[in-house]
Amino acid sequence: MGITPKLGELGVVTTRLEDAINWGRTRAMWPMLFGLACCAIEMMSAQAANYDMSRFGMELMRPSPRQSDLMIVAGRVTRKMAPVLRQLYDQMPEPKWVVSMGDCASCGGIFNNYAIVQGVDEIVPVDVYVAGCPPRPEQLIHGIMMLHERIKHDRISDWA
Amino acid sequence: MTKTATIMIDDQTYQVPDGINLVDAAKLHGITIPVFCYHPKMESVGMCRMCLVELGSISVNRDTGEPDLNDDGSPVVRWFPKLQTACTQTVRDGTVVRTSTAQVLEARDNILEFILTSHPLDCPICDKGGECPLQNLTMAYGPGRSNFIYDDKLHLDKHVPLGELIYLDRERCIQCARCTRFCDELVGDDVLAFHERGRSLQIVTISDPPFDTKFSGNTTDICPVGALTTADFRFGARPWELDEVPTICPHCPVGCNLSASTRIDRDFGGKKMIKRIMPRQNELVNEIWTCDKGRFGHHHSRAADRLQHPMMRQGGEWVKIDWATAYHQIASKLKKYADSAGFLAGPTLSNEDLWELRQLAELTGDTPRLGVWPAAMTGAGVVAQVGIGVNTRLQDVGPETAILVIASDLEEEAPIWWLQIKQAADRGAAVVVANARETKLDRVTHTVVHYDYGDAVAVLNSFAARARSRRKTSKALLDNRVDGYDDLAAGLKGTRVPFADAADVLLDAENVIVFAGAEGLTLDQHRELMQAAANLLIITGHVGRQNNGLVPVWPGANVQGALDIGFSPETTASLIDEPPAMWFIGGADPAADDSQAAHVLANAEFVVVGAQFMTATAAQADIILPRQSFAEREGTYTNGMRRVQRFYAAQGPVGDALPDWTIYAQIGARLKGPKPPVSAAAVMRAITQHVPRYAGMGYSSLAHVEAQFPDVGGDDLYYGGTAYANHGGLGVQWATDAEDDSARLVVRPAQIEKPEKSGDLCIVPVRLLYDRGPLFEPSDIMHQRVPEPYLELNSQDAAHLSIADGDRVMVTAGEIQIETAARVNGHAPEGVVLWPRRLAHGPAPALFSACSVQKIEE
Amino acid sequence: MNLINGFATTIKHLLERPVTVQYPEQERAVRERFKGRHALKRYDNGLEKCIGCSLCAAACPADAIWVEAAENTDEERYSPGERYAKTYEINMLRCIFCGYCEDACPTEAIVLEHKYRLSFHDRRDAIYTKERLLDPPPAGAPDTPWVTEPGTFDRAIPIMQDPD
Repeated sequence: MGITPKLGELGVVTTRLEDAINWGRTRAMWPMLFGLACCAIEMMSAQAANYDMSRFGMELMRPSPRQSDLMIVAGRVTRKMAPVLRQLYDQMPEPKWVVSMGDCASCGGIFNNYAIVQGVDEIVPVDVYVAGCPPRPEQLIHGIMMLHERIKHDRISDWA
Repeated sequence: MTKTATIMIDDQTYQVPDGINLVDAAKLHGITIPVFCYHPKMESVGMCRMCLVELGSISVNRDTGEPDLNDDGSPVVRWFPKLQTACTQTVRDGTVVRTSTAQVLEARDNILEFILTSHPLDCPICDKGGECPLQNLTMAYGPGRSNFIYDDKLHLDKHVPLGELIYLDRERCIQCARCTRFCDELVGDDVLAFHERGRSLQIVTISDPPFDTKFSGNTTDICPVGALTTADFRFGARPWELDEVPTICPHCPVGCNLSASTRIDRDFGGKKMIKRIMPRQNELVNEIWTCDKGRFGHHHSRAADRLQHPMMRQGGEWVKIDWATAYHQIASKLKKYADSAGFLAGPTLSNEDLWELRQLAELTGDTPRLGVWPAAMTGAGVVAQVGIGVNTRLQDVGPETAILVIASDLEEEAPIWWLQIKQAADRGAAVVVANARETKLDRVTHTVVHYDYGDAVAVLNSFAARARSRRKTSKALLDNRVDGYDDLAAGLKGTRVPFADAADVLLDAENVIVFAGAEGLTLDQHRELMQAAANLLIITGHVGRQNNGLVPVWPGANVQGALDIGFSPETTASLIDEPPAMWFIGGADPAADDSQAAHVLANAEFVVVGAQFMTATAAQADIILPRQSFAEREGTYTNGMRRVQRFYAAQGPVGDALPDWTIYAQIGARLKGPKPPVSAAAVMRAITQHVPRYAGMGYSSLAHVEAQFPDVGGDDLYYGGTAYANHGGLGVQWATDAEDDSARLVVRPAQIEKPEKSGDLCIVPVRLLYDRGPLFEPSDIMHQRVPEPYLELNSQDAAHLSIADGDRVMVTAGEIQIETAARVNGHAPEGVVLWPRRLAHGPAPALFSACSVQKIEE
Repeated sequence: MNLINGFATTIKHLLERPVTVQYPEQERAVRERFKGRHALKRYDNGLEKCIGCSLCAAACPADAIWVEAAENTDEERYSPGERYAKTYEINMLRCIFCGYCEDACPTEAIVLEHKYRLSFHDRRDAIYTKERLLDPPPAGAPDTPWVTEPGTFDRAIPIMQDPD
């Protein structure tokens, strides 16, 4: 914002650049599957023909973190799985987002015990929590739409 | 050894004590006979018919005394033609019952169906729902469906206040009469009754003010349905949501075992809070009862005006400081005033706190001055010699025992002991009440001694003299174990015995228990009273045995513990006479009780006060340390019968408040003391190593629980109501010297020093249960029970001053002047004005100080 | 030949209408028995059905429901009878939408409805308070609390009809 008054018309361009980048990010957000339990079935369903998340440019569910933008944690995260999950998150390139899909990933769900991480936000920053046990594919898509909405309002000045 | 009877239950043979109730006998062997109206602590009435069983007896040949036998060799049983109520039967040899035949099951089913014809099905909103005997028994034995028409259910009033503490739901009442019987039989207060008959039958309160008893909460425990609920807990939580935390009542020396029902709550910032207090079974202490002060007086632990942070006075203003600063400041002051520091411990400090306070004090000098407050009663040495015998059960005391209560209004000072003595009197125990005025205990006995204030010691001396003259002394004990008897005998020679009847009641009993208070006694006189009581008990040999010995009615929950750990009321007196430069006060409020103490504190150079509230004492402090209440922390209290009992942390923390022992240990660490202990258990371990009487009283042994009878809690919670089973420990009672056969016992003549009464009217402060003390005042629910400030006058004096009952009067006693109401009800002796402590804010005048009373004309 | 068979399948499907539901523009209707977001119901007159009995919380396998009850008075009445829910919260992130609460409810106050758009940026937003759960009063009915005549709403549970 600081250079806007000095460069005149560039202010308009700045806004467009933000929008363009955000548009790019939301339209080709490659998810990394992290199916851990029953939610993964719904996640697969969301990707399949009926709901077809590739409509939003989410063509590929990648098992490879280095090519992914969005981690969908679908299912209960055990304490044993937690370091793996964190490592995969760390391997993802910036910018990256996390959707916590379903109750177990969001807060442990009914598994209030020592074996389950009580919310994946204990180990990675979560952008959107999707409620449901498991959530319908629509609910997951709704969550991703919410994430898109948020990304659309990202500003360059907030980028690290 | 009690006689046993051989009985048959469901074709199995069992040995049970002869003559006990059949329901109890079955219960002893784990066989459940369901009941509603029967209660093991009360007489049976057979009202609910739930306990119907097939009853018979083994036929015995009258000539031979041998049982008649059938052809197959089994005994002949003569059955009653119809089902009998088990609760009205006592067992004897040859009793035969069947508790689960088709006939019995059908009868139970029918009774439940009948009870449910007029019982509403509003279990979802009923406070009893979830711990309801009717619910449980209906599930276990009841019909799946009713033959009656639902619409015909009787609809009655649902929210009938029986006083401000207890609400009655009339349509839920199943007319078992447990509540009325509790009030009539056990408490003896004429407050509840049945009114009308048949379907109109209802519980009403017949006293004014309504339900005027100190034990009203217990009726809600024993109510087998949700008809009686407390205003305190009403809709507070569902029983299955509650966490039960064992705790000990901090209000009086009885040390009732309580169970704090806790739950996290929005009203308390999402922290765990006490939703209600229930009695916890300890048959050696409070059985399954507690008084209303213990039950409803828990609100202080989360009162809004609790002190939250350490504070320091800077230029007349209170400034919030952090703990490190507070520790540092206090440590430097303790260094500065090392030789002139006085330490004062309050009555609610736990043993752990007292121990750490002593450790801290000992860091400042070799002979620290350790006082206990209230400094009204003394006699640690006497209690250590002749305290009541280990494992005394007041509930077993019967005709062979005499109980002397002297200088104490027991119902106001220790209500559960009052209740137990009242029941002992009902069982035939001889009760002697000695006091200068009429108290409520007078009504349970014919042997009442009314002496003049100041004559309490003389009364006990005269009893001892009577024992000598009637040769009721214990020769074995006197010859072998007693020192100083010759002096005592010489002193008693020629003592007049004005109350010979009362003396004989005590001397003729097999066991003698003495409850000694301090009403109308100075500290010096009280020391003599305790000695006189010890003299009487020792020379008559009533020491060192179960159901014998002395019980001091201490003015607080843990005064016994303070004395055991080395604090003394004599030191307190000397601290006030020769005040130290620096005061270190933990959990005591002397400025509110005693004007002289207030004066001394105001002139002290540096005052540190650990307090829960901004009390009169805290207001005079230089540093205030917020201490945790009994609810937030662990610890142990030693009750008036020397039973060390453990309590657990029930409630979430308030502000930065810390347990006292942590505070003291932290300050100690800054005075080059040892590293602070990590837990209350560690402090208790240190106590067990250094205080010989507490040896072996680690937290695990204090938490030891044995099976008790009657069986409460559990699935069969019909049995003894919802009072909670004890999972927190029965506590350990330390043994007195008298119980050790090799220990010497010391007697000495007790001095009769009658204090000078000054003026025509003089003041005697008395203790009330419901007062405006800082631990009780935050319980709003009890406010209607706390009387407006009053004082009691003798009718002669009142007539002389033309004061009538209820008049407003102005009382002047030295510097203290107060406007209050006068009561003229015949309780106060002539020339005495009874001044209830802590009823009005501000200190009570000293004992026997002269006063003038003037009527205020309207 | 296999190749032709394979392409035949592909070409056949090319001619079919796509099965994809264009969510979010187009929503597929949920089944009648679908269990979505909860709602707290009211009686036709506008009083709340919930009596704060906590049975839903007891039935809840996920501990997602928190109820604190208080007493109705005639000056401040929320529900019929003596008791109402002062606090009623459901943590949607804990709830597993099993419907046990609905089964446990003695007054049919809590119902799982068909809304399912439950995504949150912040976990705290997932806690639905009583205000968010409670249905608005029916048309023409006043909102709670009410001032009522003594003795008019003294029964919490609707009077039961004979089962037969």
